[in-house]
Amino acid sequence: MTLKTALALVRKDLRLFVRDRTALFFAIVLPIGLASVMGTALGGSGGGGPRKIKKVTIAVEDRDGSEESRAFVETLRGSGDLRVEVVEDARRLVANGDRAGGLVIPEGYGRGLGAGDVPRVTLYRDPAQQIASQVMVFQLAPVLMQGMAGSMGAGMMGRMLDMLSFPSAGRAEAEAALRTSFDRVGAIVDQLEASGIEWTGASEEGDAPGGDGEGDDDGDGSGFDLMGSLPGFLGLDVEDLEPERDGGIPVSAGASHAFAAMAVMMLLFNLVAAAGTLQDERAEGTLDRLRLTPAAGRAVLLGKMLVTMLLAGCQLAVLFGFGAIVFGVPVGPNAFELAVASFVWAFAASALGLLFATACATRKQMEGLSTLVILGMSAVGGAWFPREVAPDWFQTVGLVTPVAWAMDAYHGILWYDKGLLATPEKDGVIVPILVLAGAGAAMFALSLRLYRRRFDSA
Amino acid sequence: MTQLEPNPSGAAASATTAALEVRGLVKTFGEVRAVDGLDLTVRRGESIGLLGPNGAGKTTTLRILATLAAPDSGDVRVLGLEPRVDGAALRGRIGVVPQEIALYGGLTAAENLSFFGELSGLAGARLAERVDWGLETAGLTERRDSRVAGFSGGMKRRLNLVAALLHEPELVFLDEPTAGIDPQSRNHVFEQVEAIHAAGATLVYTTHQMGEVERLCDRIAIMDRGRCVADGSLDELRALDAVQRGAGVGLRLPPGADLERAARLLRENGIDAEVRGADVDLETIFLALTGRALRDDDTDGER
Repeated sequence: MTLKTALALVRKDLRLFVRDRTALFFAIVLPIGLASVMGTALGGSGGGGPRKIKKVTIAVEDRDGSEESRAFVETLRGSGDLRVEVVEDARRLVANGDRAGGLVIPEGYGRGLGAGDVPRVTLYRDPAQQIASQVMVFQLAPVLMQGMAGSMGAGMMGRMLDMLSFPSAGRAEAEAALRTSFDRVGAIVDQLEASGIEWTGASEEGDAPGGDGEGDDDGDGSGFDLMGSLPGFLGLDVEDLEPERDGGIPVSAGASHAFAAMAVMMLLFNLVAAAGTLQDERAEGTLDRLRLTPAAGRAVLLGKMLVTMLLAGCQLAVLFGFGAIVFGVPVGPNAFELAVASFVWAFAASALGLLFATACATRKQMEGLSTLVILGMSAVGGAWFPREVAPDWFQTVGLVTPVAWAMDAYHGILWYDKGLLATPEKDGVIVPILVLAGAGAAMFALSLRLYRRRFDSA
Repeated sequence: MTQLEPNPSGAAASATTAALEVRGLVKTFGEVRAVDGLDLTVRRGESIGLLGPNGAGKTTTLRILATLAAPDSGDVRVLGLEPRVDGAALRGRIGVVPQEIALYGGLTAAENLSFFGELSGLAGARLAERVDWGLETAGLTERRDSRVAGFSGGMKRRLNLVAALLHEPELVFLDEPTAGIDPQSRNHVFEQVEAIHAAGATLVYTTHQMGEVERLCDRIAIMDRGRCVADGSLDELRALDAVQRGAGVGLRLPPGADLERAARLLRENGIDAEVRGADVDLETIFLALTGRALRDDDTDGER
């Protein structure tokens, strides 16, 4: 009897479940949709072959302008793994957050190469774009090795013997032996690349040359730590550009990104919920009672807009206050810019919330749709992971979302210390702020039209 | 269709004697004709009961009259104003007691009244005075600072009523204001409705409870399938031919007679008989005019 009753309950609950479109949506469509977005952003879609790391753009500043330096740039270009962009001031671009990394070829590069030295080149990296800059080193190191091995081999071998305090007696034989070994290693690297084995588990600096050959966490036995060791041998100096701040406030790129992301994504969820009270009011009959007052009409929607903005302001103040106190997020030095960005973002996010509330027929429909759209926008717009790691088309799609512009504004202020307007040293955040303001105005205008059609008429 | 004279001026409208004038009102929802050529006139100070089975078009008519919905066609004047043209002016002069408990559960009784009073244009001392009046009228003075979510159904209904009366409207629409409450609260609502009627307000009252209409309304309009099928006082409705035919033939018995035995004897002889008092009640009239077939309102409450 107990089992029979339980089975009857199972049948009843299954019937209710399959007839509840929202439940079906959350159970099936939402996970598939989000997994697709994440998969597309981080791993590409389809195919069972080896994963291809996306091309990363590297800014290259050739201060030498010699035949050798130009040949080096062409070698980089020809590698196919990096998108090379020759610029005037690579360091500024990186400090500005416009590029994840910039390579500077110093004056005298060609001369040093001709003399058998290993001239040093400098890679400036943006710590806020950790993934992209790490990818860049992984891809840059083999290129450096392949492109420079032939001409720089002697210099490199000499440096190695210097490091070992090798005596002059027998040095020529030792260099020849090392060169032979190096050529063999290069051949092995070529074979590894040809077989599609990726460079993993290597840190680009600080590891012992050659690594231990083990400890790779992908379990395929390819824990070859050459990438972490080669930069120094190849004459590559790596410098991470930390933003300079008055008062020396310590900042963390991770905390800066996290608080910017939470300010963007969670605000959207909360404001959609706040705007959704419009649906509740309609369902409970209080909206009709509001509409029966003499000054109803647009005032109802305007009131909803203002209250969601007020809630957003409070939420952002608490969030950034906590971030400043506990994580050292630099709120104080950028209070004005942060206030402006927060006001505009609160406006745009509130307008988006009202758009959901007025476009959907029921609260349940709104919750399902808004969850998918907000999570999707957050992924595409860079609130989950930096957009730089995603394919180019994915980054372009991200710009369609207000999340991308809000992230640009917040990250520009909190990490790159940008002001509203551009200065000779840095760009400003006025562009993303204006885009957000325009998008907010458009969404509010659209929600007004929908409100009049759906809520304020028969 | 009778065309009404345009009369958009509020001042001039106040001079008219009709609180409601409806001619040829039509409202459709897709294929469903919720209101189908309704004609209705209500005099100022009158109390009219709007009766009808589910889906008869009562609620849709109320929503149109109260500026909440637009008609497809027809002429409507409420207090001399056109609802879709002079909506803002009209809303300040009418009150609507909705069928739902349209209150904010998270706010206290006083906060609810204060909010709706403010939106109705009240402010300062006048607002405070009317809030106190509303709480006292609803019998909730002692619970003024309690959240409405914790109220009983009757308490909510009473508060729902006074929330529509704070601005002292000239015309009040009451849409089933006593649904789901106990006899004490129902009686309390009746007393308040009688009080506002006595104070001069015009009432339009919809309900399925015939007794309420008999007690509260001077006049009754019965709607069916979007039209007004009968309109008049209770006595006038009793005199209608359709009612007389539907009521059948009465059999008057002497005082003390065994009514049940008489009815049983009639039934045993093949005559459909039932026992009831001498007067035809409103429910009998209602069924005679609208029929006994079940009405399933499938328009999702739109009518």
